[in-house]
Amino acid sequence: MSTAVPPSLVRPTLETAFHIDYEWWDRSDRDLHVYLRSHLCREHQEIYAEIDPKAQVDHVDLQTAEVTVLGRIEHILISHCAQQDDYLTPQTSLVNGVFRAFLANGNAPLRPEELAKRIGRPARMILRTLSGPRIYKGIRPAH
Amino acid sequence: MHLASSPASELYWGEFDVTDEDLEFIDDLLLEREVPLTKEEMSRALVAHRLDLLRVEQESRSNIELKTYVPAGEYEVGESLVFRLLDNRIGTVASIREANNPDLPSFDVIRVKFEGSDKPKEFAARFQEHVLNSPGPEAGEIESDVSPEFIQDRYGPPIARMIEARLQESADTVRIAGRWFHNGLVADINEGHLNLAEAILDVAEGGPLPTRSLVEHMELPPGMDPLLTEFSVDFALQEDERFDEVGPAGKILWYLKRLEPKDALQIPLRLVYSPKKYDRERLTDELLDLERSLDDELSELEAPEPAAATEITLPILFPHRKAGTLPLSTRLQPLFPRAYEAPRIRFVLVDGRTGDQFPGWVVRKERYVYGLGNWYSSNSVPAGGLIQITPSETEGEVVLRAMEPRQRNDWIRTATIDKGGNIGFTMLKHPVGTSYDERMIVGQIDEQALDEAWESGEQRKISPERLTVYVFRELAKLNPQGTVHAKSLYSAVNVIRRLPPGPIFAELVTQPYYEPVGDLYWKLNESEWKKA
Repeated sequence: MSTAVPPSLVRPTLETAFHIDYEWWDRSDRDLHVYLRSHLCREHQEIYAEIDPKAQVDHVDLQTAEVTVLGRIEHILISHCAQQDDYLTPQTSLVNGVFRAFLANGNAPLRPEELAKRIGRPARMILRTLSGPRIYKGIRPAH
Repeated sequence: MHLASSPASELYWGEFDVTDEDLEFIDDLLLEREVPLTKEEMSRALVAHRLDLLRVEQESRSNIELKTYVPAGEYEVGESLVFRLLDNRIGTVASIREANNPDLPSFDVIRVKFEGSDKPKEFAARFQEHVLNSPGPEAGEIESDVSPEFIQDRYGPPIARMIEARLQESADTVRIAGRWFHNGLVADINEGHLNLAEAILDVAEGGPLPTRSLVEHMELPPGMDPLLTEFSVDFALQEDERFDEVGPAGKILWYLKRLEPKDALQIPLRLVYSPKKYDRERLTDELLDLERSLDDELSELEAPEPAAATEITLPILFPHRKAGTLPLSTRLQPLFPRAYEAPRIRFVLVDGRTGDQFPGWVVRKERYVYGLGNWYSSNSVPAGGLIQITPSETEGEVVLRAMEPRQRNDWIRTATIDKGGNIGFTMLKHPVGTSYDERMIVGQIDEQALDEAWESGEQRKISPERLTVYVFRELAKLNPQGTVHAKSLYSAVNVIRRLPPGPIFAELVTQPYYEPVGDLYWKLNESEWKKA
């Protein structure tokens, strides 16, 4: 199995916006749905078996009411689980925190400083972690 | 003061992007004002301009009776709607369908086409649970009656950065020392003017001189605006390789490049580091703390929180002592002048004991300060000697003090040369001129022989792994326990080859032949070494 992706020629900086590259998950043969399940709140973990992981639904943006078609698990994560108090805590690891921040905002690209505000870790630490040779959970520069 | 706190305003200013129209506005601004502007000044003007546009837009829209989109509303195909959160864009409902979402109460999805866009968007309709269903100024309206200063305070820095990024792509604008100007307005400065500037700086022994001092003697055409003249001269000098801008941030000072010290133009050989890959994740918290305390300019450390610069005392690493330099570590940087663009900054070093002043150079990219060679020698500062650095009350000056400056004879670690020309270490009673860090001190018996051995480069060719073992053995034999402190190892390795703490410490924690014995001391396990 190969998870190699073309490396960016430009070293990311504090101005670089990152996002979750879902294609990375496809390429690396990892099961995104299994990983997404670990981010569900307790209530939805319990009813996970009832959720068809391939089902697509109309998701309504919490701010603009714009409708986009999303996987049902992502929709539940964004519209319910991400709104819970324990979604992001000081105990959440940096990589999981960043991943959850992207899930919560619909995967809109964010710079390290914006991520820092959301997950409470220093921007430079986030940049250092995300700009290394290894790609964590598909989190990569957005362009 | 009215506060911009509605979600619409937050979204509008928080996700602000500099458009082509904004760039045209800035272009016009530079042409109209005919003075160089900083990114902050342009940002302030652009914010005020956008607020004006919002006001005009809102006034004109109030004359047209259009329905505002809310998710709870029911709509018909062909109906026109105003979308507050989308910059008040007007869209027409193209189609309506039933939503597909078993987790939510039934609702519709309207497909909306926007003026000037081929890409329709979909929105929820008959959707009761949404924040936009309670519109009004708090939720849906972008406030236009706020002061530009308020917006500037809250969103100014990212807007200013975006403006600068766009201007960098533009061929119509030029920048010098943090100010931007329209290319077309830059006055012609010819070769003759530049030759005169060179002669003036030559007479001043290279500089530094402010632009005004050059302009006075450059015989430029009369009647030009003084600020425009200075900017034009600055731009011409910047584009000419003979000149170097060496002023700290906010101050433009010129120097003749050919008269700058060689070691400020080019990194001294003693400080040259060939980066070595190592597993930084393996370093323990204690080693990371030690690394932070060592003030190595090559360490990959987080910049400290911005704070008022205060005094810092540090031991001087051997290569810096030899090169007459200081490391510009993340901790030391705030004590020295900074610049927007200048690669080198000339400033004044002051001996805190005698008041003597001498020139210093901050070399930003390679992160060192040059100009301390004579001062180290006259104060008998050894490698590992402690010096204190404090900011001066006078701008552009930095004060140095050698700690406890008096001659003493102590048993210290001393670099030696064996018959084969290899650098090694021994304990010798040696004269020292300042107090020092016992783990960092390195005495020199025969400085010339040591320089020759180093210049031959034989030991520098050894891999960092083997060099670390070699130096470890040399230090271990200097005490009966055979133990070596991580700091001593770092200091001694740097006598032979420039390496930051990270790769040296990584050797200690990754190689099986180093055994930790506590308090950052290690022992070499010879049998493991033989296996390796």
